[in-house]
Amino acid sequence: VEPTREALFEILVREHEAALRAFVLSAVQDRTAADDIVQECFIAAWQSFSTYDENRPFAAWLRGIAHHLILEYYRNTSTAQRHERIVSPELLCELSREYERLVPARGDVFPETLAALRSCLTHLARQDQTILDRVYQHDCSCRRIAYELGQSIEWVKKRLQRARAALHECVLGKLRRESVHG
Amino acid sequence: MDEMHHDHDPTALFEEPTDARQLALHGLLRVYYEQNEEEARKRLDAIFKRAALHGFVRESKLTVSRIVTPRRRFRIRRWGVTLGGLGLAATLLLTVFLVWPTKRVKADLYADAANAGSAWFRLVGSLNYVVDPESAEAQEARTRLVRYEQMLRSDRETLVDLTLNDPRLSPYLGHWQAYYCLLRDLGRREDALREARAAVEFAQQYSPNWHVIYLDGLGNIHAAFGEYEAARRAYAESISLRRQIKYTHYEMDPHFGEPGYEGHQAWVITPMYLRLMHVSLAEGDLAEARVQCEAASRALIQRCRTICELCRTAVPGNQATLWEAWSALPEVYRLPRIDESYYANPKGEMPWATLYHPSCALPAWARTVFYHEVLLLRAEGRYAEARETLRRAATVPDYPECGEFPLPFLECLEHARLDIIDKDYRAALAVLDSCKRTLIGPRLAPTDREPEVNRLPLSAMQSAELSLLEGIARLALDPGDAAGRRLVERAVGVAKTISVEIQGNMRNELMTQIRIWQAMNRNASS
Repeated sequence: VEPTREALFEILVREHEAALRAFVLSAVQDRTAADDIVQECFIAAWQSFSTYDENRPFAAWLRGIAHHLILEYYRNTSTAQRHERIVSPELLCELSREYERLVPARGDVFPETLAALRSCLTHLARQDQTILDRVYQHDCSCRRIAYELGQSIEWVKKRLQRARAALHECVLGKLRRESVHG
Repeated sequence: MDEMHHDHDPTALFEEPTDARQLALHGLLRVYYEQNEEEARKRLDAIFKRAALHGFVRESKLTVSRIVTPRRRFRIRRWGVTLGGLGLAATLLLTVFLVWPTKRVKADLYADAANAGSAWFRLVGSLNYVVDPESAEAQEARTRLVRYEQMLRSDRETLVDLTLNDPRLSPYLGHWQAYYCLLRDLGRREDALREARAAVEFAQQYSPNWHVIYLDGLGNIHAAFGEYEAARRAYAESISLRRQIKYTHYEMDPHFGEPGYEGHQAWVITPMYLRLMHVSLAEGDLAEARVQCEAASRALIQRCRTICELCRTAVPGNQATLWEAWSALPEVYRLPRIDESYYANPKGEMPWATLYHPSCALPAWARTVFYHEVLLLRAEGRYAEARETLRRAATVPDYPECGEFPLPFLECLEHARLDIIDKDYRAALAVLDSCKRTLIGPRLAPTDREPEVNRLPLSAMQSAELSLLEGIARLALDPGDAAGRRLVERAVGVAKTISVEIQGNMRNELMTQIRIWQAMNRNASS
């Protein structure tokens, strides 16, 4: 039995919400604004759902909509306007390509990406894990972490960058291996 | 302070050298660390609900507005006076149409919209339940209601057993207060009134001090449902009772017992005058509102003069204004140092029933009275004086734990309204932006730096007013501004939602107001 349009949409939302949210959170620091953008993105998708070509990846289509909403957010929010030059359309396109690699076309593979990330986190140096915990779990600033660890802010930022770069390689490697074995 | 804000700049990531790989991992890590099934479920629910509304109920009340995510748990202040509830919106509507009825036709559309919006939204604290009765917050309120009811049932026997004025009564009586406040906020007028009356009767018999507080609650319920005369009666009775109550420390005041002297209980009686002022404003009686506002000021002035006398510093004259009296106080009274351990040991009572530190009451209520003066001055069209009073209010320290209003936020909105009235739209936008950045939202302020008490609650209505003012300012600057239009539309959406709950003439009046905002929106876009 063919699912109804509403049922299909519901399945797609459930599959893709977390991945889309990660994409938006990559580019928008304010979580409330990010939630708004994700919500608006799905509503826009729902409104033009009849024009969606089912042979094309839904995630890419969603990211395309989110791309415009993020740029609009940066244009309209004065807090964010300072960063408009940094979060450019080109950077968002690159970001979208990165997500294509990190979250392959099927939406329901996002938990696999997170599982790969979890596994990769355990291979990081203990200090890097602590820094990531402080930044992402406790919302601590680099300045505060630097103070706690008795290091400079630049040192903390550098460690963060290296940790993210290492995680990026590790996650991609794991996903590649899984797709080969799968 | 600036340093601190910079430290927690939510866009701090962008200070680092950024590339797509770093950003992608940043997003993944944020999602990974925040994994919370309950939150995820709420987000999905919100999306489905909106999608369903767009798909099947195009004319629905919720179509225009975003589904409001509850940002803060329901919290009852000491006097339980966040005058909320669906009826209050109706109450305030009258202010809009009685205070500014003729001006609307002639006045500048934007300034007028700012003025009217403020009157409508001014007091609303708990309208989340009305804006979205199916929201998680409203459901949580209903659950609390059931819990309070059960507690009350089991507590009544204990209540009767306890002796008069026993301090152990407070938590039990607090349940009762919380119970009818929730009933009121959920719009259940009859139930709320029945419980409040029962509480008044009970307290008359067992605890005269709580009797006063229940009378206030009764007045608040009447006010919230637009029954001004009944509200006025309850408040007046509460005031006369307050005058009769003789606490031990009252006798330490050298002027205690002098006719017309209320300085010894300034912060007990000031809130009542301010409530009466709100009722007068709602009735459109500016002269009476002025009388009540001055009565509130007078009690505080008397208190300031007595303190100066006792400290043997220069005593302000008989005709001194509140600002002069306040400025004459020794610094230790204007900037009291509060020992945090006072709040850490709430005398075994419920956390929300903790009595606030006595020394912060004077500045808290002085600032509250200044804010109310601003409201009144604006209603009277004395904008320059309103602006000056607002500037002064901001110099008084804020102690949110002992006041009834989120003052810094409300003052921020007042600034924006006055800027819009003065056609200084850029200043209004700057004020609103700083308001959003520094005062609101758990996300902009880190959880481990600031105690919760310093966070301001943001109800759906207050959020809508913020959007409205921002939208007005944006449209005035650039009539083609799409974001400004959306903001006004969002506020209109909330207004429409509430209008469903309001009956009779008041609803028609609200719809007129909504049409004005929509017309403004259309004019701007054309």
